[in-house]
Amino acid sequence: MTHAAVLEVKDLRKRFGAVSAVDGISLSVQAGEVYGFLGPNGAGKTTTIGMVLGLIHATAGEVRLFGEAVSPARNAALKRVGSLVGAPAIVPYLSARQNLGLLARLHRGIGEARVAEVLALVDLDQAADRTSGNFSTGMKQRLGLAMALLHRPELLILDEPTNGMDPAGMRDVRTLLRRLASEGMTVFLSSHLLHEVEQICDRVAVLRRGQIVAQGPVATLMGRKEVVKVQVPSPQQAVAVLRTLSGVAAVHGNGRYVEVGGVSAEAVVRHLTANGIVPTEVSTTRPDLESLFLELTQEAA
Amino acid sequence: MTLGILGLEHSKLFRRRLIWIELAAITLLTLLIFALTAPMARMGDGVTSALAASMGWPNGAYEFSTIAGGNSLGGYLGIILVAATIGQEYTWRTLHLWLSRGVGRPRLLLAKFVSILWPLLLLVLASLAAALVGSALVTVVGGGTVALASLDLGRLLSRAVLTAYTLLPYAAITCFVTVATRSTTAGLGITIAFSLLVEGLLVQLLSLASDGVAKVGQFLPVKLAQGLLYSEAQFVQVRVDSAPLAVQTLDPVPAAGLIAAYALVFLALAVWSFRRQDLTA
Repeated sequence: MTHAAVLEVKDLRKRFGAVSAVDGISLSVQAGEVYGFLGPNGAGKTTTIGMVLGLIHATAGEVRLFGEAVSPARNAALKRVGSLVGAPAIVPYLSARQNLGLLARLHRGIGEARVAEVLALVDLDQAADRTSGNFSTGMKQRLGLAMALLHRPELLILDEPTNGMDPAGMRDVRTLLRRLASEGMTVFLSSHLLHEVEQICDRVAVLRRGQIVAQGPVATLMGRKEVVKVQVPSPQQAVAVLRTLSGVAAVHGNGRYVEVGGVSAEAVVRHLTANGIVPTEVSTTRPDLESLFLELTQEAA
Repeated sequence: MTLGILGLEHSKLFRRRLIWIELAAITLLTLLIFALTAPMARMGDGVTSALAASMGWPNGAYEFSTIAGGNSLGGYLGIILVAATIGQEYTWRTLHLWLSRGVGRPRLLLAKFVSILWPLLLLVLASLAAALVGSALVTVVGGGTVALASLDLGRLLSRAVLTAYTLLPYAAITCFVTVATRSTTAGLGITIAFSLLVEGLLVQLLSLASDGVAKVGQFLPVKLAQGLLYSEAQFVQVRVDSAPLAVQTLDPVPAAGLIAAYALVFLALAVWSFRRQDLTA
């Protein structure tokens, strides 16, 4: 039996004493998808990822990887997952090559050639035999990425993978992620770099205070916040007409213009003309993911 | 996977500088003790010559177990090794790494513990090797000759294994405390405090109390080790002459059983604690 959903999270909850860190998260990541997991600091992203990786006990809910339930007591499905969460976990007195060599012992068929391959992939081949404890933050992050990729995982879970990297390093990671995604690897990416997420991810979930406040394809989410601006002969009449249009989130007059949110420009024009109002000018303003993120995460904050 | 994780732990452990420093330390300190004793062998008065005789060839060679055993240098070095090996992996978050690769928690901790047993035996063997050289030195300095035939090699090696065995309760207690506190410092400090204060001080205090209360002391790891190691007449004689045992010791078989029980109980507690933990970033 094959499972299209590589990762399924159902009503996942985690309480630390009186604090509810994750409060009923449900999501599903399909095979080959690049899924963005966004939220401000303290929103519950890392706790969620910790539960997915079997490091944190869920208070309630369920995590399934490749159709198999995962918990700290049952984590065999994680053999098919590569992850980099926060600062990379390395044995500091070992070289980059030795760290990868250690990890290779956990997986069958990973030889020196693959170790060399991933070192080259993250541009660490020149520093492969240096003690990793002396690496810069960016180099450690590259090593962490190499460790996550070593066993050719089917699902890659990354939490802020470009932390501490210089712009060139960030660009390299972005290019690498694009390449991995194009090769069909499923990627679950948590990042503050919204421009990158916007470019790379097929779908995103936005978290606020342990809850998902928006989830869906990036284009759809941004489309929901698209503002359509129309110039009409009688703005007051147009406002009244547009208020009857299904899906309209907000509508208000602005001089000779009317601004409408929550619906597409096509729907606005069709609705107005159907009601005898012909727009003389139509334009749309689509917010970037950053604006959307800020709006979603700062609402009612 | 089990062999993989054991190999991984073994490989990590033997690339640590700490283990080689500890091996050097126990070798040098064992040699130092014999080197300080050696001049006494030439003095000729009763007490010093008796001491020198007990440290000379071949009896002195067996004395390594008082240096390398639990509640002694070997025990303390073992505690440091266990606390550092487990505690630092919390700090480095490498425990998170292995677990997030599908390694089971009990398997990981047990592999860690098993991989530490070999270095503990090496600590004992290093002390034994140094004691062989040292006891020969004492005899030679005292004008005697080193008769290789007088050494019971089988007995020496079985004593080495038993000495390493007496380190198990300390290793298991350190493992539990380190896991429960997730701290190298706490694992190290609490177990050494137990060894020095509870075992050292408590045993002395118990000896001042009534016989019934004093008997409690024989169930502490230090006394179990003595019951196991000093049961042979020759060694009991040496110990009685030099430092009378304040608290009774159990016979070797129950002592060995209780040592195993200590190790198993604290290891089980460590696994239980580890399984319950949330390993946050």
